[in-house]
Amino acid sequence: MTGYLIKRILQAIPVLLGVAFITLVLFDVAGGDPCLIKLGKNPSEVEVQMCHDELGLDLSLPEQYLRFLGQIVTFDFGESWSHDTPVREIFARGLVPTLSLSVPAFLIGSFIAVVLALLVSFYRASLLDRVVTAGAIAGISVSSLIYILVGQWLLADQWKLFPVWGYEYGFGAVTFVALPILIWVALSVGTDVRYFRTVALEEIGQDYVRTARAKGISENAVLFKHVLKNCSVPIITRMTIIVPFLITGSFLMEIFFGIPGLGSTLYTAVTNSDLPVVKALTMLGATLYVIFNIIADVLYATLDPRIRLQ
Amino acid sequence: MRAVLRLLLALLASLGLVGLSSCSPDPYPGEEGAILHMSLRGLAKSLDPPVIGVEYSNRIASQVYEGLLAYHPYARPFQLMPALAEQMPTVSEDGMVYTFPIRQGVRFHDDACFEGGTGREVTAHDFVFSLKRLGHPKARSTGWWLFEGKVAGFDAWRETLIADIEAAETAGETVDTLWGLDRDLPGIVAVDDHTLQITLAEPYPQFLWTLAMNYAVVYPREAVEHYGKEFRNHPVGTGPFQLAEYNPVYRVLMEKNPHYWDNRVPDPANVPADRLEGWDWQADIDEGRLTHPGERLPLIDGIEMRFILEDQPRWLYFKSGHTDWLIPPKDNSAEAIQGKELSPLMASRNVRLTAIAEMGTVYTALNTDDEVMGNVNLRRALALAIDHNWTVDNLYSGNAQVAESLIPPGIAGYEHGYHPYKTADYSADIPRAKELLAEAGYPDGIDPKTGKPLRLRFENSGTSTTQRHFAERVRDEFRRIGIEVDIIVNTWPQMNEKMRNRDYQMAGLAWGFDYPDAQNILQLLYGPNQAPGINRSNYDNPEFDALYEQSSTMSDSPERTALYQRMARMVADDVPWIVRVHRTRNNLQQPWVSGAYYSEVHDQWVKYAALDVEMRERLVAEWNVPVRWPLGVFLLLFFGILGGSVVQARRTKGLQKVAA
Amino acid sequence: MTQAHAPIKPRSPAREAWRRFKRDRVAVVCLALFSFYALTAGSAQVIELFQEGTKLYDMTLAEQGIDVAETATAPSSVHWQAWWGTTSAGKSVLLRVFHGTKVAFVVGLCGAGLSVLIGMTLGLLAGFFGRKVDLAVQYLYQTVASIPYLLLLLALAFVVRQGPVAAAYNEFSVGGLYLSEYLSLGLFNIIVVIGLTSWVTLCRLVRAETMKVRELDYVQAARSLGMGELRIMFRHVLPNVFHLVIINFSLRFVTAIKSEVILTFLGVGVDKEPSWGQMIADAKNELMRGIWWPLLASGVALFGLTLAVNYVGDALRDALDPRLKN
Repeated sequence: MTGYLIKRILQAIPVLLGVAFITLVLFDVAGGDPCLIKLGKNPSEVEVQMCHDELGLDLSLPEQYLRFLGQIVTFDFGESWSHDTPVREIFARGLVPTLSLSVPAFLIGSFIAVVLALLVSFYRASLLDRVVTAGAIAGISVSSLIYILVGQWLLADQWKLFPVWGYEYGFGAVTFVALPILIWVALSVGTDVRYFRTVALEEIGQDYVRTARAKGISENAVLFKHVLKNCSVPIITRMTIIVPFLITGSFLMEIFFGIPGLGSTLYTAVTNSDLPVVKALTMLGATLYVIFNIIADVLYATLDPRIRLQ
Repeated sequence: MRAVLRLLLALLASLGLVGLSSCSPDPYPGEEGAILHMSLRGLAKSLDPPVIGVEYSNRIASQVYEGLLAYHPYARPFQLMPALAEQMPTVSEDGMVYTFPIRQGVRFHDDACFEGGTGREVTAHDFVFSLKRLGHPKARSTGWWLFEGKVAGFDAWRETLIADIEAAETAGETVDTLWGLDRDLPGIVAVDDHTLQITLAEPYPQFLWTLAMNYAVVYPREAVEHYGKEFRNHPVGTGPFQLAEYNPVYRVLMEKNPHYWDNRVPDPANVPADRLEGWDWQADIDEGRLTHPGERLPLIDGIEMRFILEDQPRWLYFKSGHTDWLIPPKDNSAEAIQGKELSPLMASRNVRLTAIAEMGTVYTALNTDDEVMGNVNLRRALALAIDHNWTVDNLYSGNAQVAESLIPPGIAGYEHGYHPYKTADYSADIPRAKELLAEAGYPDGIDPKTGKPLRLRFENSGTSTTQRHFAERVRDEFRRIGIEVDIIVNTWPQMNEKMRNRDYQMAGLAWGFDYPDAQNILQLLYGPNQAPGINRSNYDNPEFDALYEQSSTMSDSPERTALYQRMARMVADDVPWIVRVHRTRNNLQQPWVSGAYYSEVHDQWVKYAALDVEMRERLVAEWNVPVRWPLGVFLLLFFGILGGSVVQARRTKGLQKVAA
Repeated sequence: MTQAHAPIKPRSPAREAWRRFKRDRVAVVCLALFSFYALTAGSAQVIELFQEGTKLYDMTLAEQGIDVAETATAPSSVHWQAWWGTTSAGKSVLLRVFHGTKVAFVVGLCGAGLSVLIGMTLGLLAGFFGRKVDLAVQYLYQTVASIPYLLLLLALAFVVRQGPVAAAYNEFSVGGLYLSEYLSLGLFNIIVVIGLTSWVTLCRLVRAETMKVRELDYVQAARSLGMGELRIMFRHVLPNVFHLVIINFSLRFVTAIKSEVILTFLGVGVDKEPSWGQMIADAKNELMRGIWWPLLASGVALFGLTLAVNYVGDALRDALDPRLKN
């Protein structure tokens, strides 16, 4: 196991180097000149040059890459170019709002989806199954933008059940994240139910379930003791893999509902060519992705004895 | 199975309960005192005075910082009045030396940067420090050009500093914004603790106006030393409010400065000090703007500003009473304003409307240095193809007026009726545009080189829907004279780089005046300012340049106005810009706010606001009665269908078992 | 009349799948719905190709001399173009939704096509050749998958529109026909972005499946018969993994169409011609002003197509991969 972990971590390093490289190359082409925003309406050539030097804009790509690697190793990405705050601070400020939206939404959504999926696979091919699968497929066929637009307009503006926009640090957050969470759950439940249903059905179709049934073990016992236990492997791995997306995956919701999280931060950073913020968030996202994939594989192997890590 | 069901039901029910109980649309839970609520439509940037240039930073800074002079909050046209200067400066006979007596007993905000945390008294030396730092190359000021060539010795001081800093940096020294700041600058001197003297290098008619800008405010050296670069997020000034919380992507919360000096709302009864010549104070009283004359500032306990970048929530926040003041976004303004009047909903709520023509111009820059766009007849044809009325009605929802000249009405140099490439009623003139196009060598829009319609690029400097609509309209209009337009979407940094490299053909831009003088916009067309400077259309007309140079040292006079008019005519003839509109700012103010008289030139008006908190609470509750039944119906339906099918499923399952 | 005994033909897998597919009546209805959309898209494309000058969808109704204001007007029976109302620029919603179908199909087919092509090719190569090729492909997809999606999407979109890529797009021609004449930059942009960002899933699946198939007896047999590697790959391995490709294509088709909406909302989407995404993005402000018809029309159009493809995709999966059938 230790050997496997070391191997995986070593494999992850070139991947992260590649991510860093791609990020830099993309920005070399699409970045524009951020100095002209910093310097205002009327900069002199000398000042533009000074700013270029300070930000390292005129360095060659390899030099910039080396600098970037240095930043990754020291975890210090310097200051944001568009609002002059240390990236560390921007990150610290954005993490809580993002997580207070994405974590509950993810947990509630997954829970409802798993329960519904078990329910319909238990009563497969019944009216319930058809209602839920039809609902799920209709649900995932609506554009996420429409969910957000209509949700905000109807629930917040017309019915005044939630604030339209805003965020409060601490417990006050509940008021503000309730509607985005609701929309997120509505958005994700369809996909998840479909996935988990397939997983559960595959499990129910296995021979051992039939054997258990034939032996007269009650349906409940079969469902909980065997099916759920074995389903838990793909369910947990899937959930693990999703975790990294909780960081910036909610950006549309954040933009619309005024939640000052990392998703909207990344979005503004990209459109303002704020390279330090982009670098930091990209590396964070990539690292989490790599780590959680390793965790998922390890979990898979630990939970399912049929699988051996190599 | 039953257990699963029970679990699911319990969870959903508790979720529903949590959902319903958190169903309070109040976005300011637990707030105390009279706090003014505002929304800003863009993010604030640095609050370090030398780099304050962005509108939204200014709105914060104007409550926290003060300078020598300030705008009178009510007088229109604008007038200056003393702020931290005891009175208006005495000016030497040649108009070059300004002496300011500094108000005594004014203290900086209490802040950790001071010994013991208590703010010390402001002296003339603080002004010398602050004004000099504006020119410090490391402060990277966006406003030093205000003093460039104007304040005696300023340029030389700055240039030696730049050279020395470069030398020091090559030697490996770390240089901050205080490095070399103690060097004498002969133009800015503290005569004694309470007298400041500024000497000009040449007559500078706009000089006093620049002193009312946030570039020229005072702040203590201690704060810059203590916070270093972080000073930009920890402003320390003398203003009526100080920062309590600042989250640059979400909100800023200001609380009142308990030691604020005895600054009072101008009182017409206070003759002659407050009763400025030309101030129509009676009108301000009659129209309910001047409600607290003679009272000590601030009238409220604090201000909360939220950065709401999306139009829709910003409007909804106002509509539900959660912001006290708003410029309605153009797409929502129909809900607020119909014609020039308030909508019935807004009128029934006694919302106050102030419509102000913005001091600025929206234009389409044409790069005259471009191979194709260099053709003056082509530019004229393009200008004539535009239906300006449609733009105003649809792209601005009526909240703009067609610009006749690049100089807006109300500013010296504006001339009514001279617009050779805009029809008399501002509609498009397709036949004439086509004639000009033929003269330009593109008959019916066909490019003789390719035999196909001429293709032009229109650059957008942002990704918003509004900008897309603008560009799409340009494409529609130019197609009517046979020209195809490719829309290119850029981020603002990308656009900046293209303009610097002269690598564009057309771009939608706008300019807001820094002070009410046409020179401020004419500089954008001055030849030597060509790219990489701010003359983005690279307009190059020696005659124009000569007039510009001639006018630049003249003070406000009919002669100078005549020069401005001649320059504006040249621009109208040569069309380096298609001058589009001057926007109107419709300002809505909730009925519980009084005292503040909105201005789009400065942000010092905010601190004059007064609030009726009790009325606000009552009305907001009245306007936001939640509608719960649709949610109930939905939940019922949801559980009904789900439950029904479960029951049905169980029954069939039971039957199957029986059958088996 | 006597009929000769026909030799018993083994049913081809495709035929078998179709037989299974047919049993699901809803799926057949959805397929019909999809065909209707495809027909609409096709006719929109034909009309576009043969219509000279300004396209009708780009002309305001007022411009054509129809008595409708040059601004947003509610659905009315004044003229067939106004049946679904007009947009805030005064253009026909009906025509724009109609043309949007073509855009959706171009985005869906080309975007999904590009994505599937990349994923399939890389997956096949990696699975079949193993070793270094496999390592390289694994590295590539791990790297691409690790970059936050939002960043990849936006940054790529800005890159595609600028300098070298846009220039290449402008210059690209086959036999004197310029790509830029048939595919607008905005569409090209979306297709490239979607293609380059969404191939990883299929690549993984195909790689894994290929590795299994490679070891099967008949492949080994073909190899021992001295068949060329590439030939084995295309003749024997590809058909065995192709069901994955088809299923994935239907998924990617839907994602591509939905991504168009998001990209257009973010301001980096379709720009030259009307699309559903544009109308939905515009609704952000229109809804509050009581202008609901563009959102309703485009939203329903989008819903119908995605629903049909989703359902057909499910049924296809069940038909092609009967193991999963409940």
